[in-house]
Amino acid sequence: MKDNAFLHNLFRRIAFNDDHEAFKELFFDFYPSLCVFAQRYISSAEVCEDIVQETFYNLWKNRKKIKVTSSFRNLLITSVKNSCADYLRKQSVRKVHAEREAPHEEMDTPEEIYTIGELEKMLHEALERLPPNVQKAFKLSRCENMTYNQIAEEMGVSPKTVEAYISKALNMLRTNLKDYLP
Amino acid sequence: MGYSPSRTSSLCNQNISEKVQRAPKSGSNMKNLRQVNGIYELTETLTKQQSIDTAKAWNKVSRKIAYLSFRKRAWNFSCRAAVILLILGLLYQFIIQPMLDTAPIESITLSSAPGIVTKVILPDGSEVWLNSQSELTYPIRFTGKERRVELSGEAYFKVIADQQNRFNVATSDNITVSAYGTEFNVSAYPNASECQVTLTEGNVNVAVEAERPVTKELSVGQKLVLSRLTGQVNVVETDTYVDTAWKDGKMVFRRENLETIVYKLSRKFGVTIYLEDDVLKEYEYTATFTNETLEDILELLKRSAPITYSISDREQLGNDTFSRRVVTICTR
Repeated sequence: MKDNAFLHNLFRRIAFNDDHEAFKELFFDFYPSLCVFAQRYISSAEVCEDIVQETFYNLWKNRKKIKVTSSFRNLLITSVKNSCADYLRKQSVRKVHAEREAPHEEMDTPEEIYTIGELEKMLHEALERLPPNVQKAFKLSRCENMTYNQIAEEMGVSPKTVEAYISKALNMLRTNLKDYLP
Repeated sequence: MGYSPSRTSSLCNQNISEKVQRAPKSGSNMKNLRQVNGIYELTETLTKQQSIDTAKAWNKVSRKIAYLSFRKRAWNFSCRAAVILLILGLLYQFIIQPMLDTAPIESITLSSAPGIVTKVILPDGSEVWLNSQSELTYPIRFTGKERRVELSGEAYFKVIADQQNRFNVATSDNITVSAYGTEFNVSAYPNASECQVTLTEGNVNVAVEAERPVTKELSVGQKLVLSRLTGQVNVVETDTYVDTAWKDGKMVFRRENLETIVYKLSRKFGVTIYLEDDVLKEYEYTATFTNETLEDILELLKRSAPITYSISDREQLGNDTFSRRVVTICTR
């Protein structure tokens, strides 16, 4: 888990040393989660990716000028959110739509900022720690949208076993992530 | 990946409602339900995230960044080049060129031996024929607005046209002949009784800095004569061929008195000629000499007038040099 100090240091390396490696690290850490975040406002995944790429590009371009006031995470989220708002504003055809879905200008709650990227990562790690069978059953169910019967067929076990796997997975995940879940 | 949020959420809801139906509505069960729902939502997000091709996006962004930094480097390079060029330009304009301009310019003094006509090409390309026993001083490089040379003796100038830079010939008599591109003859021997400027082509200005400064503009075929004795300046019509024949190795006399002829001969042959009788000075001759020796010429003069002459041999002097030959002409 990347704490704020680490991110700050990363950003310092980018801003002062023009460190490409640091920028790449930052990109790989935040790009997917920011794209998914942008999808809250804009339905097109492609547009979201473009917006986030543009955000990173501008971040590099303006790296010497940027002042991080609260946190680096906050900065990224705010930039993406503003870009989304700009994009929606420019879509005059979808004006009504934009008004309906335009992000509110108020700040995200600290929890929300905190969870961007992090929680998913923790989930990913928690998943990796599950027993292989349980993990596979859970992934097939959640990621591939297969029914218990299909999973049972795929794994060569009974649907009851699949159900047991899934509930085991849920229990373990709940335990692992209990501090971050509602 | 055929992924549809609505389907999943309905699936979620379905799961949740299943659980709700199955479990009694206790507080802890509601909490569990919320947690499971949270996990499902997280999984959904994780799946979405994993479907994003970060490496591809990185390639796109890093290419853009590389282009950006290339542009920046190119821009920086041009800026630096421009600054360096500017500095060099300023350096040249304000330091090196003034230095060159104010640096003492070496002069060349060219003198012509008796009996020899020397031709020289000046730094600007102008041609100068320098008559016997004359001296021309000119800089190795012309700078500024003026092309200035100094003359003592006689020279014929063929000046390269340059409207920007005046060509000035200064003589020891404070005569300045000024031209942009013409051909003219200046005769200013220090020991002669008069100075002459003859114009053969174009036009020139002649300024005489005497007690009463005079500036004359000559036209082709005219000759300015400054008398050294009276300081009188006259412009007369002349035969330019006679005045400039010397540069082609000829001596041309048209009704010239003997005194002048003798003077020119002594200069050409480097001898001293005495006229014993003042009457001789008034004798007039018309003649053209090309390749004749001094003896030939004296013989011709002797034949056409009642005169005779004697030539003394050169004598060795105490300082190991030789005296000039002396010719004495007297009436018969």
